[in-house]
Amino acid sequence: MSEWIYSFLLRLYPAQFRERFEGEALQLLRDRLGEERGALRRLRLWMDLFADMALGLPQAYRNSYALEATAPGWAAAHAGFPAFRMLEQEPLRPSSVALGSMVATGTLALFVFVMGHVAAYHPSSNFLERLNAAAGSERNPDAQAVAERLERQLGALSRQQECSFEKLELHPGNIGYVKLRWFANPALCGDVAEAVMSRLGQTDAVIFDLRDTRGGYPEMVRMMAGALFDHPVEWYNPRATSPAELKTVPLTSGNGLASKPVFILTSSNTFSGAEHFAYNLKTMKRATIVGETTSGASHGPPGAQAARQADVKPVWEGTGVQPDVHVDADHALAVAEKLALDAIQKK
Amino acid sequence: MQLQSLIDISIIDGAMPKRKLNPLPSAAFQILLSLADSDLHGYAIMRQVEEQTNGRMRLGPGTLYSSIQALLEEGCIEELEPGADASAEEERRRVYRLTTAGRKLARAEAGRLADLLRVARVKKVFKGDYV
Repeated sequence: MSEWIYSFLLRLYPAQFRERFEGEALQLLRDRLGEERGALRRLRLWMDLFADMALGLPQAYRNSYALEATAPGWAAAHAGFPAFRMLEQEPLRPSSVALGSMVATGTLALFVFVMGHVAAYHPSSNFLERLNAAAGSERNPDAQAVAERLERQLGALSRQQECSFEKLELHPGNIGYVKLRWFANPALCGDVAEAVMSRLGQTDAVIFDLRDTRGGYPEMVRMMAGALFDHPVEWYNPRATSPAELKTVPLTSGNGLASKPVFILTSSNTFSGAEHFAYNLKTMKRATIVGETTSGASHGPPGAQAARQADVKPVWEGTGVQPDVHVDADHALAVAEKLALDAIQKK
Repeated sequence: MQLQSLIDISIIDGAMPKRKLNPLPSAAFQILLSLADSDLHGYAIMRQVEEQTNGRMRLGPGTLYSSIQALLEEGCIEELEPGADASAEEERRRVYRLTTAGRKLARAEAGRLADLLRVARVKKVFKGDYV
């Protein structure tokens, strides 16, 4: 009976261990059973066996049981050939698999944790944070709400980044601040641009940072400018290919942006589509340009149209767009913020 | 948990340091000592260890044979071929012998313990008892 129970317990050991030592282990047990008789000694025997189980099992799994796979035999078989030795010569041990999965799970958990925190402290997420706070979810948010919000923020953030809205922040005095790298394709980013513009409608003044904007799609320029008016306005575009491109379109959702003061930051690195945006809003006196004279470099529209329309030069080409307030690009934001606060107070 | 134990590179090179036996577990050391003056089979090793530790250490089959396996893998002990006229029972009881490397390892461990003992004496841990 005891022997039967123990041979069952032996199944917990690795196969190689059983193959090699099962007979010996059972023989040892038989010897002890033969020698240790009486209830007390038998009890001690079984306590020994269970204690042994706890100590011996981990060690049994640590052993490699790879005595046969020794180097000389392998080297002799492949003499004269440069080759790598394969680790697979030894079968994967169960303990290695368990350890590997534990480490992998731990690493993944750490990664998820870190990623969550990076997103939570990203400066541009402040804006979305406040947006959500308005809905009253900031106080006592339960875990589900936090998870959902995080997911939404991550999704919104990545779309926002994809569409070249590098920063979207709420600055002191309820000033909306947008930093653009590029006027993205309206076919792909029209919804994002519209969401950004309608959110800006809830602020008291808007600053467009075009100091590092290299240009973009003329249609996106026209669309974003259109959101600054509550009615269609004449739109200067020397390269327009249809009459529709010579008028702006207000946002269909409607917003309060039309009455808000707008400031545009420029630098000598402001190019092409960004100059287009600044030039039009300046001539319409819709925006105050703060910063440096723009590059004025020649930039045709992308693709095949460039060749056809290269002779049509916009008025700012060669000269750049002059700012209303001349100031170093590095100080433009601070100056614009001050001007915006003044403008808000005057109203 | 040591990172080292995740990657078993000992099979690449037979001359790797004795990873599993560093530090030497007390069970393995006791087995080496039990084999120092005679070649024994598993059950005899267990009895010998029990005797030399005054009954404090009774090795169960799991600990005994996994230690034996580790010592075999590191080349500290070797298994004797059963004689041609061995019975089935004798064949099951495999006999083990200490190798030169095993003797060297046992000596090193004993030396380490002797050093410890010397320190304990200098620090008067034994309070006048003669050890």
